[in-house]
Amino acid sequence: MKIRKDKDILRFSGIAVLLILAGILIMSFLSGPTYFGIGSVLIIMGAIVIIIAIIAAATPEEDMIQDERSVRVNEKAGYHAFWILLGTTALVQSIAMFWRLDLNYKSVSPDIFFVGMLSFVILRWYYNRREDIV
Amino acid sequence: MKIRTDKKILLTSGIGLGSVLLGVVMLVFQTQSKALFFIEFSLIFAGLFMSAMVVYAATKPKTELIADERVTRINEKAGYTAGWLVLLAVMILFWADKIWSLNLELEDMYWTTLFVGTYSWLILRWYYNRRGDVA
Repeated sequence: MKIRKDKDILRFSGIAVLLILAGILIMSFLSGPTYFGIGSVLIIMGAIVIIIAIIAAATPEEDMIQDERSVRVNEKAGYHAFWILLGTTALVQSIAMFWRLDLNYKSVSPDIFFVGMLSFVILRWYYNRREDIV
Repeated sequence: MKIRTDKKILLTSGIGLGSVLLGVVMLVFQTQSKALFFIEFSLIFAGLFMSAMVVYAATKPKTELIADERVTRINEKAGYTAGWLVLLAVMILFWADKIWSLNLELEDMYWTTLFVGTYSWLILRWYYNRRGDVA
């Protein structure tokens, strides 16, 4: 198995190392549960980026280029997920306003994020199954 | 100028007028609720907007209203990028709220997503339209 060491791979691994380093520094020098959370997220993100970089380095460069159909599927799914995201936010806001629910940003934003990502993944799967996508 | 009166036009104008009527009826019999007032106002506004759109569409020939492949592609490309921008904005605000204890309300999220989403979509649509290489 040949491992590539081109500019993109090195840049990607550099970002990952920086993320992990920033996470360790935040956790070491700043106290409090919030900074611990931020540090942990940065370290986890760094670890994920390193794994992606290793997988990408082991794959030939030609395999990484997306074909036209995958690009279209992504765009179509992203477009509809975007409208779903806006619709969900408007719906949640209306429900909270109508029933006088005392919701704050911190409690709702992870759910909205989850809705956006999940709808994107489901729509990608759906459009990938359909055969009439260019 | 020929005005089309096909099924779609009649249906959409019916929904628009119904929406305005519902909003007005609710406004007449309303209680002192702020939320209800917002709904009435939205219904009237949406109805008027829909009616204006129907009048505009009815004056155009049917063939002119079909979006060509390039326009569809531009819309989808812009929507895809705008979707990621909205998610990024939500994430940044979430962490800013956590770090600096901004005590953001749900309404702030609504305006953030609406503002970031709509404007980035419009700007990106303009940008991709200017670029010549969109298939």
